[in-house]
Amino acid sequence: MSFLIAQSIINGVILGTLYLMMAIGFTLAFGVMRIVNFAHGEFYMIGAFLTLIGVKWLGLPFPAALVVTVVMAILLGGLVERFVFRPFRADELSGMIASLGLAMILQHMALIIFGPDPQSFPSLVSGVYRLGDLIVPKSRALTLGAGVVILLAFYGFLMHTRMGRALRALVQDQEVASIYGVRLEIMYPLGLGLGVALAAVAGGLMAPLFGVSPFIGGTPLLKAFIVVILGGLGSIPGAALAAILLGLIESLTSSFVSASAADIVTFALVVVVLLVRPSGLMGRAEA
Amino acid sequence: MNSILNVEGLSKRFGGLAALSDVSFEVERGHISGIIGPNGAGKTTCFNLITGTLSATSGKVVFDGREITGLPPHQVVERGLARTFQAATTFPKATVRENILRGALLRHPLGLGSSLFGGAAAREAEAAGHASVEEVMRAVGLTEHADQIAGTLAYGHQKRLGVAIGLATRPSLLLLDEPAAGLNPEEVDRFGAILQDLKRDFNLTILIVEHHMRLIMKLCDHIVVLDHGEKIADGQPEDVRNDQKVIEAYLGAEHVE
Amino acid sequence: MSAAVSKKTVPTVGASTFVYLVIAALIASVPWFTGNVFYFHVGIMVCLAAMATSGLAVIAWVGQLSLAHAAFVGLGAYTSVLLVTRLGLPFVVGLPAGALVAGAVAYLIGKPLLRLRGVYFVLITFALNELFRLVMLEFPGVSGGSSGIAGVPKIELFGLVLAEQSQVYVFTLACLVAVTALLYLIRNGQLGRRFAAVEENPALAESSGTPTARTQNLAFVIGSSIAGFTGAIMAHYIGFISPETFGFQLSVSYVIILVTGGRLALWGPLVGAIFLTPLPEFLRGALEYQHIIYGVILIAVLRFLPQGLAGLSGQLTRLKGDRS
Repeated sequence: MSFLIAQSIINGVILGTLYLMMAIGFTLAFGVMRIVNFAHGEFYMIGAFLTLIGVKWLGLPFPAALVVTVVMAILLGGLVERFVFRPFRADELSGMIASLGLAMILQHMALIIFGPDPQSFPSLVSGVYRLGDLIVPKSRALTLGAGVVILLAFYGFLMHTRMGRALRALVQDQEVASIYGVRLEIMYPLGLGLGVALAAVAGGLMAPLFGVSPFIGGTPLLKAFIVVILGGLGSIPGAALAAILLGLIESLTSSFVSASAADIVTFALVVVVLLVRPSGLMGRAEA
Repeated sequence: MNSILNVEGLSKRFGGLAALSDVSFEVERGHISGIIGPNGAGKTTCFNLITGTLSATSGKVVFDGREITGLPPHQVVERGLARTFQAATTFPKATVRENILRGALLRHPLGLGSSLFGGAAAREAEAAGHASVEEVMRAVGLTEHADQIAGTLAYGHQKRLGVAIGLATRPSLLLLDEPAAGLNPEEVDRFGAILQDLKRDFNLTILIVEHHMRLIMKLCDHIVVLDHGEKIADGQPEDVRNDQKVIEAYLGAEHVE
Repeated sequence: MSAAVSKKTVPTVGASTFVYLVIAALIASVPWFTGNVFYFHVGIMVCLAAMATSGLAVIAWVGQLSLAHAAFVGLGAYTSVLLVTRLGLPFVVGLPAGALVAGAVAYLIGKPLLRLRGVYFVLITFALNELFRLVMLEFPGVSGGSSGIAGVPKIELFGLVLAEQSQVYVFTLACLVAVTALLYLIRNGQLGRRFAAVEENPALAESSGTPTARTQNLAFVIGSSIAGFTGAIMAHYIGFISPETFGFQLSVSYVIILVTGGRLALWGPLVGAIFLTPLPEFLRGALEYQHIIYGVILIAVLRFLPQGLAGLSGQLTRLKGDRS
């Protein structure tokens, strides 16, 4: 029994890392641009395909393919900000509706290009790590490690670079930030670009585990959405806490009850949190 | 004294912060009374508590002999206590006439049935509403703008429209939140004159929050001064003007700014 | 002049409205011109989409965008189907029951829900739609689970089974006319005034005597009842329902129709449905292109026609109406 719990906790942490990578970009887009981006999950899907192309068709090593994916995703995110979201800066609701349209466009373009069937990803590593009774497949351990490294790198970027500070300033207070010379024309596309790049790299990392198809963006979007609501829209520390929490809840509930029960519990939690504390568990209060 | 509004020990805390503490005053029927004070003194909070937009932490509001503490705003206005807002004073997408009519609805309500399917009651209510609108429009001098969309009106006219909407609810007490802010001196004078006409023609009592000292001193029969959420003075304009605490509060505020 | 204005009390059917009615009647009669069963089917789908979106529009009139609309359509569908198949009640009971249950649920959850505004309301309705789907999947005994309920009996009105597409079309058309008439009455009466007041400036509306919470809740209940009503018809026409039928995608498609047609325009749902619903039916071979077209249209309309297709002419009508 205790072994099952420990196993569940490990799986929960892996899930939580994935969810966090998805949620940070989602919450950053809201914090910086007040955009609720329903197309966020499609960037996860695009990231998975870009990595697949890099590895399978171009023969790049996996890390190189991930780097290419990140660069392409930042560019794509910047373009999307410029041509889809920019006109709706003053209007949260219209921006959100526009993102629904964007999601449809991206998903079905992928459908046209790659077809509906799931594609397998060449496995990178095989075998398992054993810790007593615990079993961790090497592929999962690799994903977890890479995810943590990427999250730490992003954290370093946010905390210790000029651009990172500017982004955080924007999340805190738009007006004050622009008074202090934060240039919105650069920071907006960058904010969205980085956010979707995190989603894309998550897609690339998960591709070897879960396969690739045009429809894989939906679930990660839902998870990001849940994490961000629980953590508070726009709050990165809140997202971190909520992501790990959600990963653990899901993993434990699906081990001991059922996967669908886990979904219902988390969505009910989302509804309750929105009703009782719309600013999230750790978010700032909204006016 | 024949008071229409009694505010008794009104307090409001946001978290640990006291926005208003233990404020009491009375407004005499038929007077124009003013609330003044430096920025952040709690004037608008006081308005919000009186009209039910915010719920008070403690204290009591008695209007026309009946306690209205804790009533939602739409019930407060139904009893005859209307208010205007500092910003966002109008329904921006509707015409001036429609704006005022939405206020006038209060006195000509319809049930769901007659609201949907018309009939004699609906026709009567509409006609009465429209008649009321014409009267209010004339009183505030907006008749020539009747069909203009509110959002496209000049700033001064939007402020006046805000007053007109409140007036259309047929209040006995009208609370005005900085109605002269942003108006030029000439407009301020005209506004003052309009208010005095309104008071006479509509049998109103007026309570006004305003920064514009000249207007307040000229219009008001009685002034309440707030500072840091507390009442520091209460009296006739000349008394308040010479009150040492009031002078300090304003001088102090100026030094900080 | 003021006397003439104050006489304009009860809404009259203006010339422009008459033109719209003629155009609508012409469009509605298209299937008979072709006589083709397929066109009747498309016509039915347009009517159903326009009706459901009309419900969404009523909610939008008080300034709220719901992403749970499909769930209410689903509530109506399941209510009617279960009453008809399990209890053997006739469709004429199932149909109003569907509307009633959807409205009742809206009434129960409306009060806490509608305290949230803007994107927060959208987010919670999104979560609720997911929750509805998940909960329904969890109770296959009621919902048929992921395989759904097939073989739903056809629409039957007092013994007359609507077996032909053309018959169903007449029925849905009549229902659409009734729903549109209801919207027209709401829009032009005191209720519509209160809705608009709440949409434009809730604080001012409340302070000038409109109970905003109750008004929003009323709009939510009316809109959701219309959704439930539509759902019941939809279920018995298509003959198959499952929790997946009423998922996020369906909610989004109603939002797209509403936004394209015009969020605040009376004719928005109808115009949007006529414009967008036939698309998938004619593009059956290339479904993915259809979704891309939807997405592009949605973004383009938001960007260049924020009041939607019907908003343009609606604005003109309003200008004329105010001058008369």
